[in-house]
Amino acid sequence: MRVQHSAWVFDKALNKQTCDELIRIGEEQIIEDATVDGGKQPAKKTRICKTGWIYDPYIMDQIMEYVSTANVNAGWNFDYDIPQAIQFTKYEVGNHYNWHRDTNTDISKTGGATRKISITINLNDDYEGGDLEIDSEDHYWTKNPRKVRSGLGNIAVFPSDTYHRVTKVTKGIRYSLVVWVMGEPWR
Amino acid sequence: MRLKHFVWSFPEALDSAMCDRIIELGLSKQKSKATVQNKEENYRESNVVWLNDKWIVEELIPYIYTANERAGWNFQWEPVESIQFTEYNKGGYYDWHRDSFEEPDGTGKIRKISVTINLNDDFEGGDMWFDNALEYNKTDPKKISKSTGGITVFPSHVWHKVDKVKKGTRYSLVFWFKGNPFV
Repeated sequence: MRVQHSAWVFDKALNKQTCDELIRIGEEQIIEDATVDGGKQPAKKTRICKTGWIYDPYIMDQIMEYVSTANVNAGWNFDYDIPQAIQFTKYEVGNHYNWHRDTNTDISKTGGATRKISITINLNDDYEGGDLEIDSEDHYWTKNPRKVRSGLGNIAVFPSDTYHRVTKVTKGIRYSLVVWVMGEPWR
Repeated sequence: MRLKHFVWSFPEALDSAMCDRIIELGLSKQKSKATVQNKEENYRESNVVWLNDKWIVEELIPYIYTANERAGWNFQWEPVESIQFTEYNKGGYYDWHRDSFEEPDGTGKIRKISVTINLNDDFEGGDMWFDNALEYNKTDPKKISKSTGGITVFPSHVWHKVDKVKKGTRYSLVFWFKGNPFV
């Protein structure tokens, strides 16, 4: 699939007070090392960070408002259904997440649905490294990774089949929320 | 887009008599040098002719329906498109590219399904390759059979190329079927 805008960012969509509160709640929810592929294994090589789940309908409503706007403004106009729970992620020094896509490999396990829209929300900015990068694969031979604008309270929205990564955190702790919105496979 | 199948082929779907007839038809028309939208470098060397012969499209349509279903794409598409007859002479090639563009055309449609038909196989080189790049930074090109009459159907955004023809001439038909942007 080719799209004109491979990500859509809302600067400072959440204020500092909300972000701090989410970090506080998230820290209480941290239960696990991140897993990949539906929790089959903690993938030490591809993803190293800690995650937890946040169930907050109020925040979710806010996020989904931004998703709806991004979907129109970026010109994607994807059909989508409901989001999965909000994942709280904590990347400490040395943590990272290698290049990957969020789309589901086997949709028979998810009732025929796939992740269609992915959202990353920065809850803080007092760290170094930990950049979210995407690559819309404009060229076959030359990769062209681009840094997604980050900042406290920023909400980045992108199609789930876009390759992306989080570079190694070199200083401090990076807190973020991640949400995936499900829907029917693109058609 | 992650696809379980990124190419669906029907080997020897058209018989060689029909392929010869199409080659004859294509050669009877005025050909022009192929052009591509991307102007940054010359990465295509071939001649093309546009055909208007609806019977060829009609012959092809059932294969597209079948491929779209069996490959599990289930894309919305529209069975209207012109046909490109392409001729790759010795030295002719088409480097890695995708058939779809980032923006829809003037009518709001995008290319969704591409089709290639091999009209002959008495040439060397000129192999067609596909790559769905399932992992970032890793290419994994796959070659398809070039036997006469083979129909190959693939989503237009899948990377593909045609190797340089080393001997003889490679004749093929190329179609792009449009549809609404992916939803």
